[in-house]
Amino acid sequence: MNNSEPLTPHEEKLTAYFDGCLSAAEAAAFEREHPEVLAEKASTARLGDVLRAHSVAPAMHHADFFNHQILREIAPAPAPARRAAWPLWRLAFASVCCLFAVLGIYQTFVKVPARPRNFAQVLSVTAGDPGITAEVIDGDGISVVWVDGLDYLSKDYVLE
Amino acid sequence: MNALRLLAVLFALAIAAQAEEKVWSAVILASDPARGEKPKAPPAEIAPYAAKLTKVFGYEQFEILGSATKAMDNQTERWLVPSQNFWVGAFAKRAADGYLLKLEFFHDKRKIVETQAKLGSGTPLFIRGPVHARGQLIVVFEVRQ
Repeated sequence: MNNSEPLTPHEEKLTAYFDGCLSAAEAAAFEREHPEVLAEKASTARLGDVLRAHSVAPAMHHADFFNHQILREIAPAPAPARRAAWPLWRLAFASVCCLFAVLGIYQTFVKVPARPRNFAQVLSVTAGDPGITAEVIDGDGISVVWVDGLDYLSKDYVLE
Repeated sequence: MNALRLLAVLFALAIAAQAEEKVWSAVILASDPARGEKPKAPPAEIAPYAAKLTKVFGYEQFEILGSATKAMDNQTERWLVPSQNFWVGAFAKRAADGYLLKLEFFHDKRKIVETQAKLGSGTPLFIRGPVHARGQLIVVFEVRQ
């Protein structure tokens, strides 16, 4: 058998038979087709027993070096650096957007509407004489000093 | 250096803008239209408040009988004479968001009312004056630029 040539199907099956890798049915069928393998298997088994019983395992020098080499070869490749699902700038941007959204919702639905802009703030009112009363009215968004007790002006009173 | 110049220009503009602020006062006659006629359109000066004035005073049309404007210098009292019969003494002091005004409102020689109010641009103050045969007299004050 040349090492460079691939195994034939028969050789593959024979090897599997010797190694005990065939199922019981397959092994029985193989033995029926090739009865000579029974003797070969028994001979191989005996040879294995003799080798195990009498041969000495070769001494391995520089074991640490070889262990190191083996471990280096079988070590898992380092995983590629994992990209963050959300980079920092995206997180910051999303946070700002959320903040504005919350503020918008608060301004729209929660916050009490600010006083209308056309509301003058009257701090004090004093009537000019005892016959007059004056009070402040916040009338629908405008400030009015409501004065009562003034004389009625007839149509003869000229307004200029 | 350029930034400093820009700041200086902005500062000067801000001061100029403040100096140009004025108090506007007017005497308004509120009345109802003659039967069968539509109310006259309000003057532009009070058009933004016409609907609210109608709600408060109950009249549908408004006309300005006279008005006066004075620049406020933050130091001296100013006299506004919007009409021959009404005049107002106004002392304005600049506040954070407008003017603090001390107003004295006179009808002929009679002092009607004295009031202190904080007025900003676009925040007028209305004073109900006497009722005339033609309608209700109203005096308005407003800070303008």
